[in-house]
Amino acid sequence: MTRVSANGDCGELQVTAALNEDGAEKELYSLDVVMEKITSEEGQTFEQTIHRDALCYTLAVSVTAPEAQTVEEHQALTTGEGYKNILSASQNHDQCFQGTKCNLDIQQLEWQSFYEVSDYSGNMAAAYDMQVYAETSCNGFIGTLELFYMNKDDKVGDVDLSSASDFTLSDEEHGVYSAYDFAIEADNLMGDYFAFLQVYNDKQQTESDTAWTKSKLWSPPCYLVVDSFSKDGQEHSLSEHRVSIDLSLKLSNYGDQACNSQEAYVEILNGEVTTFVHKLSETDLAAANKAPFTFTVVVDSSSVSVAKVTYTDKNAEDDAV
Amino acid sequence: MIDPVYVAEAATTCEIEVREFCLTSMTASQEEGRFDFKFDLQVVAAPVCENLQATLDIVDTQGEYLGNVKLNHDELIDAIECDCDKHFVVTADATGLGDYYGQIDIREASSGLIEIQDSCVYTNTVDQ
Repeated sequence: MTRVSANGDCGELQVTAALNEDGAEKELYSLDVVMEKITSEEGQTFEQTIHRDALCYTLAVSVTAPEAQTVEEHQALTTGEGYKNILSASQNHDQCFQGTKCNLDIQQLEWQSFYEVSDYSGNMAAAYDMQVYAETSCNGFIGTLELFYMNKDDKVGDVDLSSASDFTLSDEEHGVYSAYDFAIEADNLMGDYFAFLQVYNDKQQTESDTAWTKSKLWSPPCYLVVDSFSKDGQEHSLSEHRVSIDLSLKLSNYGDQACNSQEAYVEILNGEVTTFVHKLSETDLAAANKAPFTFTVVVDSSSVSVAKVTYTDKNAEDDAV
Repeated sequence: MIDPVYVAEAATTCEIEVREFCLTSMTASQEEGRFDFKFDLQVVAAPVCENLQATLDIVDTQGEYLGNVKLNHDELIDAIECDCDKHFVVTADATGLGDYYGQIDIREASSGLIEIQDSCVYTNTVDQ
């Protein structure tokens, strides 16, 4: 409760009240003074919303009487100097606020990208942007980011998080920690992925927050590889006009279900000129992807200098030759 | 004393030789946009070759495989197994003018034999 009073013929009083940071001149909050209340016997009770962080405050109240008597009449009575005719008084009261309980709030958890860590032979990575609000009293936080594949029963990756090492304090004034493009790895499979973030202020988990992302479809790129393509033998016809060439072909494709329009062509060339071309059927392609696929082509003897295989898919990073 | 007659050893593995494979003509079919392709085929297959399978594609000048190739598989196998010069007709979608050839693919499952061979090229100069 705050109360001001004046004795004598002071005229109308002017009262100001403010909450300042302890030991500093800086006014943090200006308080609304109601003259009828603050000058009454009951006085005025101030109510002010303050920041949640711990801080010591000074309540500074001052009163002046600008309508006081003339200078000459009051010169001797005032505490002012020279010709100031404003009578004034002030009083401060210090009080420290111990701060609130730690408050954690996940402000953002958003998918950013998928990518392959190396190529088809390695893991995929899902990258997320995260923003966490943590009050000063939390002294940071720890947490986990988990990655799920297709449903909540199939967790495929998790990473322990720490505000100290995995986040940057991007907005110190508001206690906002950020981590951008934070990657979590999993097997390189096509499908829907989503993430779950949990943060807590300490190991007792007295304050925590959780968030889920929406599902996002990851479709790995298609990679084609000609593992082997060799001539296993050749035999000329009795007339020497034709030659049978035994060829062996092994193909591989990677990218889960990404390679879905595969074609493979075997060519026989005479210099730069293609003299024979054979497109593998779907059945033969599947066979060549499982094990070496052997077959014989019969061509004119004069038309052979080199054999070539071209393996394509419209989704492939590159054709394989 | 008369020497015994020499008897060649029977082949123990399936071997196939396409001795003759030629596209000899193409004529417009009764169906619009389709042509009858007439082939001569002579194949020699070792007696041990069993359950032969064969397919035939027809390829045009641009290397495109003609669509909706219709052939009688039994007739094709007969042509392969008869050890004779056989004529047979295949119907497929085609535009008409240009170079065409067939590609036969003969297989024997038990030996894994796959033999692929092109026919001679037929040049169609008549817009039908």
